[in-house]
Amino acid sequence: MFGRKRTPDDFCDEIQAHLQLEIDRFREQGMSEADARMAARRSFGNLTGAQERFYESGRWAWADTLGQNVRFGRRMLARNPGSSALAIAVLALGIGANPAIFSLLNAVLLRNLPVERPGELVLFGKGQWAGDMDDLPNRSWQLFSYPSYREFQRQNQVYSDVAAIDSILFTTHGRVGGGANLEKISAELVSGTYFQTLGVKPILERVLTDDDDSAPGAHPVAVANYVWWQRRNGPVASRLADDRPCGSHTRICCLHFQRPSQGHRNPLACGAPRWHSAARQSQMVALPAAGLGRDRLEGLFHCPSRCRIQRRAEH
Amino acid sequence: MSTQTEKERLELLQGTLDLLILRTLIFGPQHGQGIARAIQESSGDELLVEHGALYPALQRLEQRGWVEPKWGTSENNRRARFYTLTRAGRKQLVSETAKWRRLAAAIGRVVGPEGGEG
Repeated sequence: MFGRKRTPDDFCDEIQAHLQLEIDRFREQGMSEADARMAARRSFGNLTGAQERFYESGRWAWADTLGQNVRFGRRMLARNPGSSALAIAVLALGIGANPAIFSLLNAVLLRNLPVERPGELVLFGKGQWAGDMDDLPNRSWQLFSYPSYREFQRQNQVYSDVAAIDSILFTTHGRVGGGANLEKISAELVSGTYFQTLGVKPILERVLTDDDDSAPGAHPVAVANYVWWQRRNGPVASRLADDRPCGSHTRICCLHFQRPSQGHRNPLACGAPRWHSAARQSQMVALPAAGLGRDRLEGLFHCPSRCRIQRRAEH
Repeated sequence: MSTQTEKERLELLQGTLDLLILRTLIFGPQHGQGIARAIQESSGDELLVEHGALYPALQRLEQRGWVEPKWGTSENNRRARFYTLTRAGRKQLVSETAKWRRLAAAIGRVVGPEGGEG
């Protein structure tokens, strides 16, 4: 019975055959042709009803109905092209906006910062991320000078550590790995305590330490972003990152951030890419304090992580 | 004359038509009209089988695999669709018959013996 479908025509034939047999029977009983035909129809009952019941028992009745509905819907849409277009546009916008809003909320509210203890981080000041201090004294204590960062560090009795990030983000150009062409590099200057404070560990070599942050210009080292490294050099395991000139006089000495695929509980696991996209910047190089000493600094850290992401996402 | 008698006949109880069709087919392949007439005759002309209801019922039995159809020729040389009882149909007939006997006996007990009312 499966796959074999009886056509309505076949069913009709059967009923016609039935009527013919009945007519023959009545004729044998001595009825006239016309009377016999009438009697056969009468004893059959509702002919159309039988055919309809046959049709409805078919497996494809629903498909016919669906087709009718689709055709009807299309006709109605074509009749009012204006309102149809409006409805479709509203639906499209609504559907499109949902993932966009969700991905924003997800980055800003739901995910934690990919650092060791995101809940314990605090940001000094109002968390204003970028800017300078040309209009000193800074009106709202949002930025701090490098010496005041050092002062914080020295006097610190409350925090486990204090770190600083240059408040002016810059994109520069440099050669990496002895390549002939200058390439665009987004760099961020951070204090030597930056990685320890965040609790971020490298997958190769080492991150910066406070020892890299003593004299201006004396520590030409940088930490490369995992994603950038992979894009540029292939699998991380292939080469150590040592000895690659970057900018005018910086060496990339370590890769920080772990592979994104190493499990969720590890705060670093998805660290680099997540941080990266949330910040909408491509920090890949962190210069040591040599750079920091140059001029002004944003004071540091940290607000509860979320607010931090938020700030960064605004840029 | 036939209209008169048909009005006095009993109408089939819901769900009993399948049983009657299967039972009729035990004597060999038969077409729809033959089934209807056979039920009518073997019931002593008491049961009215509406022919229009017979064919959807046959269709249903066919879909369940209890009967198997085949076009053939009737004894008076008319083309007709003949139905044969399948093995599954035979099994179904046995269980339906048992069920019917239980039902009839139970109703008979409730209604009481013949001539008992009043």
